[in-house]
Amino acid sequence: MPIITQSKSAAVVIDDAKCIAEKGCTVCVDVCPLDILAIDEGRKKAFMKYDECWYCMPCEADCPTGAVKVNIPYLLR
Amino acid sequence: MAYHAGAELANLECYQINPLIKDYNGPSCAYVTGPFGGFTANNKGDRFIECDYWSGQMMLEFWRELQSGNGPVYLKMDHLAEETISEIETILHTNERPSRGRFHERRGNDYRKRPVEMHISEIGFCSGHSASGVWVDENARTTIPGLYAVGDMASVPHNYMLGAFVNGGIAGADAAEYCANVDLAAFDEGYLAAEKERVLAPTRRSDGLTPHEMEFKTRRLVNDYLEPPKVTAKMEIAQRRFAEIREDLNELCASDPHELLRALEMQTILDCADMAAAASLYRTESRWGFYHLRVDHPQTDDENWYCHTMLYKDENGRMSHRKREIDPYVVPVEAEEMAAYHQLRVKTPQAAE
Ligand SMILES: Cc1cc2nc3c(=O)[nH]c(=O)nc-3n(C[C@H](O)[C@H](O)[C@H](O)COP(=O)(O)OP(=O)(O)OC[C@H]3O[C@@H](n4cnc5c(N)ncnc54)[C@H](O)[C@@H]3O)c2cc1C
Ligand code: SF4
Ligand code: SF4
Repeated sequence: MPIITQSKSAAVVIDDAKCIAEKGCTVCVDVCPLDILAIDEGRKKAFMKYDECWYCMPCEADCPTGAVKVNIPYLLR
Repeated sequence: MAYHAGAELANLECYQINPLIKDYNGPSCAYVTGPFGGFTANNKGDRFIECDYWSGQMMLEFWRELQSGNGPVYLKMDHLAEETISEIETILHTNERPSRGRFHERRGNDYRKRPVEMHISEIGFCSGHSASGVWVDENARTTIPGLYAVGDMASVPHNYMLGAFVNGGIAGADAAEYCANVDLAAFDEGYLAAEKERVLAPTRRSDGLTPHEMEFKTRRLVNDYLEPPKVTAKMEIAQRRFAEIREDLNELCASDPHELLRALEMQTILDCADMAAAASLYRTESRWGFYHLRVDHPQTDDENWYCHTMLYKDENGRMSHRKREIDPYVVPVEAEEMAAYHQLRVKTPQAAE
């Protein structure tokens, strides 16, 4: 069967103005135990790539510039 | 992994089922609030269990309360003093699950005003909180020489962090001794190549099924058919449906390393689902309260089933079972203490006083 993609709201929000991924930072990507964050190679900013967040928050706690905000996913709010 | 390597697993029908916060993946948490005066209550605000410590019998009383007109079940703290509640908040909202405060805040749920709604979790295998897992002896040895197991996946009941650390130390020391006396084993190149092919197969397809939908379907069937109370006919349906999913594995696709990880995890979840069904069908009695409540075998049958049940892969690759005798207790337990497990319901409900 062919595979389709479906839109989802991203519970983990990155403030692009604060994110310093262009300087080589990958802290949030490295600390996420679920491997769901990634750096957008075009924009050089972190983003939530997979809708599998556990709202455990090391990404938010460890980001050196305070760019990450973890929201409780909509289905659980 | 241990199962496929040929290790025996013990008492898998003794599921792990926990009281969690409704809609939130975290304990409610009676362990933290208990010493401060918080407790598990019904919708009338009354205690209905003698002890909030997680056990199969405690979960049975929890489930009965949910089924009765007294549900849902709550964690009650609104009777506590302000300084006690702030202390609880500091622990629960910064330590155990730091997003917990955020979850409650969005729903306007303040411990001072309203109790926290709780619910029954999905089933799982986890000796850390229950009694099932890869069988180990007192040196953390599995039934395969040189293979060790510790922590949540080993059959050491209720060991949590402390047990994981202690048994890790014991296993390490024993393994070091074992390794000093054996050479590296020879291995079969053909087996290695076949295993590599199995692992990477989902990356070689671009059309088919995604790990997410295959995992979701497996979990849904587990919830529909394996969650206690266990019914033989339902568990047999589950086995047939799991076999269908197994046939679909040759359509499983992974488009990147993350999806490959999920594809492999999904296959492990399917193995665990099959093991949960097979182990539950093997033990034809009820034991451990809610964890192994078989509606068509409601009695505890010590004559035939006061034993461990061992699940393993036989020479033909089939899931098989056998009984294993229980070793004598190191510290004798009084009959009266043993019976305490079965007397968890509060005897005179406060409402009837
Ligand atoms: C919400 C919560 C609260 C808890 N609170 C407490 C507490 O307050 N006090 C306490 O003592 N205990 C607590 N526990 C229990 C405690 O956390 C666990 O018992 C303990 O962490 C188990 O450690 P472990 O090393 O056995 O397993 P884990 O920490 O689960 O480690 C297993 C590791 O194996 C990896 N893995 C799995 N499959 C594969 C594979 N195929 N290949 C490679 N790697 C793999 C996993 O990614 C994971 O990192 C809590 C548990 C939870 C979930
Ligand atoms: S940790 Fe913060 S700064 Fe670094 S990549 Fe992630 S969001 Fe950007
Ligand atoms: S909250 Fe946890 S799971 Fe979610 S993105 Fe952050 S680190 Fe990953």
